[in-house]
Amino acid sequence: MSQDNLPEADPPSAENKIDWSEERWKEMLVYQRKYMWFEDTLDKLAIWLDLKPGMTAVDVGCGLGYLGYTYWLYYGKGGRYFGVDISNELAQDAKKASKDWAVSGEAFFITGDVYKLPFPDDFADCVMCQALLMHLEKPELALAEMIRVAKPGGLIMCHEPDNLSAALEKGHSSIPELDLEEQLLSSKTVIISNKGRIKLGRGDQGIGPKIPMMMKKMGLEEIDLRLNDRVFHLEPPYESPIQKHHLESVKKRWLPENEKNFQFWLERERDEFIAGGGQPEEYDRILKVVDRVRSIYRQQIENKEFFFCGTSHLYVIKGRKRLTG
Amino acid sequence: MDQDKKRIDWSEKCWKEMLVYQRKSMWLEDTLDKFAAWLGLKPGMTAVDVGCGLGYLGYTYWPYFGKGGRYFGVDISPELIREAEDIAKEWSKGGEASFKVGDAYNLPFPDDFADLAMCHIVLIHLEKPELALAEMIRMAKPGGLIMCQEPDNVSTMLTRQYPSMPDLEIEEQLLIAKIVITYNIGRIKLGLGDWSIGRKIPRMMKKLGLSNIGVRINDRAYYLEPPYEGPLQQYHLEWAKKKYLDENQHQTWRDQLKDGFLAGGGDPEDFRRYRELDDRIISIVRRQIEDGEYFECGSGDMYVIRGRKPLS
Repeated sequence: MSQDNLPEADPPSAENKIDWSEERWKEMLVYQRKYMWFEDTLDKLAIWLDLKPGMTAVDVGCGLGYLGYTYWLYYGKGGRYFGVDISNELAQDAKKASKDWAVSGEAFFITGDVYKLPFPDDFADCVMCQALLMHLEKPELALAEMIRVAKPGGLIMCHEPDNLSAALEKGHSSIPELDLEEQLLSSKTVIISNKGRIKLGRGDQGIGPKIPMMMKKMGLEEIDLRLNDRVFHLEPPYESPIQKHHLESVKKRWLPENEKNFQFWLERERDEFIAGGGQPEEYDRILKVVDRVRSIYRQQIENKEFFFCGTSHLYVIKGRKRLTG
Repeated sequence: MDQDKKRIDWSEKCWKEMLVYQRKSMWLEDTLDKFAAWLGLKPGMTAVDVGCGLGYLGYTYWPYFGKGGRYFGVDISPELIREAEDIAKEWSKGGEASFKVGDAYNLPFPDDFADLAMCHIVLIHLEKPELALAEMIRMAKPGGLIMCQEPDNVSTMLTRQYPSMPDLEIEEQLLIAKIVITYNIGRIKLGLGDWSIGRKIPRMMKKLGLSNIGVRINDRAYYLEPPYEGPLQQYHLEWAKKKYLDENQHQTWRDQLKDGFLAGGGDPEDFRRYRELDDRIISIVRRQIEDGEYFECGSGDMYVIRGRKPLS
């Protein structure tokens, strides 16, 4: 391992930290995760990950304990789950919720820092995270810390998306396709904003497919990855529970009653765009496109005409800590 | 461009190779198990595979429907049909497999014939995919299953990542996006099919009156890591070499890209700039492969879409 592959030693800065217990963020912890996986996919993943009853699992940046209850069926019997989160409020909520799912095993919640996990070396059979590294200024440092806490031969597992790709590819929808110039402007916004995001210490949206190489450079073995095979597919008349859920998430994003939230995300993206070296006038141009598209969205949602089909680019990446050395 | 020049002859070496090579390790085995259950495949089914090539869907799903089942492969190429027949002797145990030369727009089967009508990377090459899909539906039984495995290559190209390479400049990334998007516009104009068809099929099925429409993607990601040990890594490495280092193959691909790009109204000067960029990327990939530093990681957007023909 060459020197420049080592994670930086400086402690990460605390700027731009998200407070996940705030309503709009916390909602994502619940809302976005509902129907995230097909059940048969989790069954196959659990085998692929070699989860076994009685394992000791550490969930880094656990939020409301999502990974804990999602995989509990596979390792929870006689198992121990430790959820760690920077937010004391979330850890408390997660603890309350865990009474419902953490039966026949134990679940603990601890307030702690991903860069300095409150566990000894070689502690866990499985160390995992979901949609965490994508928010960190120094993902390598957090990954190295996860590896430290894993037992030799233990599993490191990351669920991390490639939202950069998801934003670049658009999917197929009832919204008329943008013309080429607008498409390129939109791609440019996405790419520059992600650069800015990284600069601001908010993390890399496209981190998913970069993790295997990170793991390799940190000496992990048996690295492999898979994609979530679930597709975001919305089709009128939106009858099934999944369809209703998808429709709600589209409404949340586009309807006027959520204007304040909408503006919040735009402001955030503008900051990132400017930080990435983008010109304010250019962002104003993209806003015009967004405005136009938004009115189409609203109309189509109202008329029950809106449909969408596209992939989510959510990866599951695994690696194993070496047995010796 | 004249009709003959643009049409692909899948029995030609470089194309036929794709029928074998690209399809090797395309799916994880447990994914096929999962899909077979999701699709409701059962022993004894009558299946028609449209644009069957060498019978890929036949042998891939045979363990799930083949026992006492019947498989009919249809392809426009007599040569491929002959070869598929030969290969089928090996895999079609316990049931029957037969092959017919035929046209996807005019399938040689009566109405309401099959329990399962399926295709794999076929609609993406057709000028009139809706027409072919309608034809598949025609000869499926009421309540029968229509299944399409079709990619969205536009998205795959727009999101391609090279983790071991230096980041491209934004202008370079946008140039690639421009080439790919314009190429597909031209491709469709030339009647060569819609490169992003995968994501559009659920909607097409809906319009054609199918019910129980479901869609998933292949959960296999591609990953290449030095020192490329083991059969799967070696296979991926071979594939990467073919794609990037085989000059003929690469040139053939670039010519197609150029034809489509220009037909889509692209500026030749943009293509010239793209070629320079592509040359630079290829030279870095080549050096990294030689030095054992090359990583590849990402996903192809390969959709599996199913729908059911209504009972009445």
